[in-house]
Amino acid sequence: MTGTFFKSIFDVFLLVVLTIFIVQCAKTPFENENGFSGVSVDTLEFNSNVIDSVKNASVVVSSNNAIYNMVGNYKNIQNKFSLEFLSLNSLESISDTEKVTIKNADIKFYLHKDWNNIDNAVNLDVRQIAPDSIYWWNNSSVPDSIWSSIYNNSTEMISNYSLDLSGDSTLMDIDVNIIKDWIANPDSNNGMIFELSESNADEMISFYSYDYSDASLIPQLILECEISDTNDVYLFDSTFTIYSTCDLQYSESDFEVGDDSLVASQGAIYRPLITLDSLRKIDSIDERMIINSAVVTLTIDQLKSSIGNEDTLSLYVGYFQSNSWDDEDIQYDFATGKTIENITDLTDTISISIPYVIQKIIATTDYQQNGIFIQVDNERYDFNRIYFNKNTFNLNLVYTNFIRENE
Amino acid sequence: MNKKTLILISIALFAGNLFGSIFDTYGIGRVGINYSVASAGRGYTSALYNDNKTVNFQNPASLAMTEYAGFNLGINSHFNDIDPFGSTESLVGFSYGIIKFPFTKKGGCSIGLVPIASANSTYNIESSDIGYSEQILNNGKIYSANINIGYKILPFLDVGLGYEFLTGGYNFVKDVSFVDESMVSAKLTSDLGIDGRQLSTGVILSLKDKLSFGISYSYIFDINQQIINTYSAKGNYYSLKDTTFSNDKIFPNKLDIGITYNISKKYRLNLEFLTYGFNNIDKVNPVYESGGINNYSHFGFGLEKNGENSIFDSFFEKMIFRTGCFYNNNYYHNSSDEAVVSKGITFGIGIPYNKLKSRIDLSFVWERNSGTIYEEQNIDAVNIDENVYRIQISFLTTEKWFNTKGKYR
Repeated sequence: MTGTFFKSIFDVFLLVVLTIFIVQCAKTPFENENGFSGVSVDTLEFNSNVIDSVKNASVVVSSNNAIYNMVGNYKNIQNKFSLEFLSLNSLESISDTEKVTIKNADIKFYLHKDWNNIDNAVNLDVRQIAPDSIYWWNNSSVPDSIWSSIYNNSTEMISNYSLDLSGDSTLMDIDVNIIKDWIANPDSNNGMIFELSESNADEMISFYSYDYSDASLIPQLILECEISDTNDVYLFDSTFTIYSTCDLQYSESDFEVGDDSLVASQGAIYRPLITLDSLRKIDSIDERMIINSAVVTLTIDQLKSSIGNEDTLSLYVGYFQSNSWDDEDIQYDFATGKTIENITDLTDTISISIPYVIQKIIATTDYQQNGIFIQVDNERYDFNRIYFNKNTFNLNLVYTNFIRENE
Repeated sequence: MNKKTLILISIALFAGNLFGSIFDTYGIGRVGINYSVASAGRGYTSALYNDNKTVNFQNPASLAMTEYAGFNLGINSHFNDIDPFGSTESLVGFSYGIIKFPFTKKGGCSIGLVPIASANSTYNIESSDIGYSEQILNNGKIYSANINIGYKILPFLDVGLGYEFLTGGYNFVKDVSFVDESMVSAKLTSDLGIDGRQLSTGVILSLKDKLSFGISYSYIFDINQQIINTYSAKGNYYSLKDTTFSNDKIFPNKLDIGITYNISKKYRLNLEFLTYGFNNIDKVNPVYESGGINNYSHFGFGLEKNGENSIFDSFFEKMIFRTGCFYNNNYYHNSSDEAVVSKGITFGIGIPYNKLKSRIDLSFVWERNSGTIYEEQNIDAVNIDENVYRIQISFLTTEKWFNTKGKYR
């Protein structure tokens, strides 16, 4: 019995030795080429060599929803506008027993800004838009094109006015027969065009427009009327205020910039476009990496730039894409960029982190051009210009790379 | 830039019951978990031995011993005490479910669902010099839905064969966030779906009346994965989904060897060695770059006192008592090829009821896991000691289905 027990113990011992032997055979030196990997957070710095191409893209300034109506010339831009009062039907008869007779008509403008400090008066020509021109000009989505039609082919001079600029508002007297004609024949009411009498004069003013948020400041047609009964017996005087119903701002610029500089300008609107194709050609960069920070730095050429010494500007740096930027067919993304504020005439360098924009640039490959654009704020209603030194472009990236297995 | 100084590792207790071992963040998590509660009580040993009621998940040949049909359902509960972070909340959940039944006098088979790998963990790594932290989450399981057959072909030789459908999935997340809130956090979410096939085979050789030897081998012959990697940035302004299909082997083959020595009619001694060939797998979910993998090995030692099988014996005499210990070299290693080591002691009891037809098994396991959880060049490795307390319970019933034993032949 004892012998059997020890024999069995010996068998167990042999099996344990065999097991340990198998374990040692199975174990190999530490090596796993395909296995572990992890996360790396790293940085990359690029200078202007990363720029593939640049373009200063102009933007159409003319608009049918401008909040100011500008007229005159300022910093290479010629401005004109049209205006329409369509709500005149109610004046035909205010009741069955009373009759309205228009005695005087004025268009009242609230002055927004006198750009050249004219101080006294400005002379404007006013033309009536001919009724046979395109009637629905006010809804046009191509304001430059429609302006050309209504201005060149279908205008009829009303008068020349010298507008008093001494107050907050100014009145422009209108022949009451024109108003009566509009009431009697609504199709003839196709609006008016306002332009500088001396087309080359270096003066410009702006008024609050139909699209301005404060309705009390939009252009008004003031009608002083006499109310009489049906037997033409005078009853009382009354003043009617008709608010403008639409307008169209037309702006034409002869300000042109080359592509040797990066120009963000107001008035004559330019947005610099920068493509960064080289980023995608770097081995360590692909669409699966996440950009944690992307700081773009640029210096401002203060000699070329023109910033009003009391102006404080903001710049929006965002993403654009285009399949034909020569044709100005450019899609601007105003969701992923960021704004840098407090730009003055003393600012010499801007620096802004735009990780979302750079991420989108790297990830988007199905456009002929994509990259960064810069937009100065209030670009339709001010006239500052910022020139950036292209050669000072600098981009600092912090990115996370999730290293994949088998790579 | 990659040089990091690790100043703090903290456990992030998420609301998703992510209370597994802190070492679960590596690869497919914990393996060597497909043991019955009875096996766990005797030091996770079951390669060879099985009583005639419980199912041996490691060696299909043991099904030849099946005498009764029945259910076996296991429930697992544990909580962890991680130095220096304290205890996690307990995790309770389904562990396995098996139906078994005998055929002829010499054979038995089983159908069941058994976990073979499990991960359930998350933690943060905070780095001081560049001001960012990484949160790592690994949550998933691989189950084996299996059909096993065992048959006694000779009086001293049992053989078994199993066919297993491997199914499961993992959600693996790495989230990098920065102290500087202006910087954009980055996140990788990997959703892994697994569909595989495994063949298992085993033999039990009874060398003498008192000594038996068992061996089993499981071979993965087909495995398919769908991996959906989502790279995203904070605020979901950017998200890239990258779906790939792969046949890379992510679960290894297994070799299991055990011996049983019957000290007496009541007392039985078990020894077991189990290894998973992680050296031969194609890839593993990563955590830190300098880590590596090597074979998993398990050594178990267990002692069991059988209960009396007579209804005339006292309740205490009918109970089964088990104890054991184990030592595991886990498959995740640090840059010095030092494995995460698990060791522990186990206790178990079997409580018969229903006139000895049914049984409740309980096991109590204390396990200590020690090893490197993170390391980088030029800094000391971060080592963690973790105590895991497991309580498992299984319900076992026996029925007389199919148990004709030739009566109607």
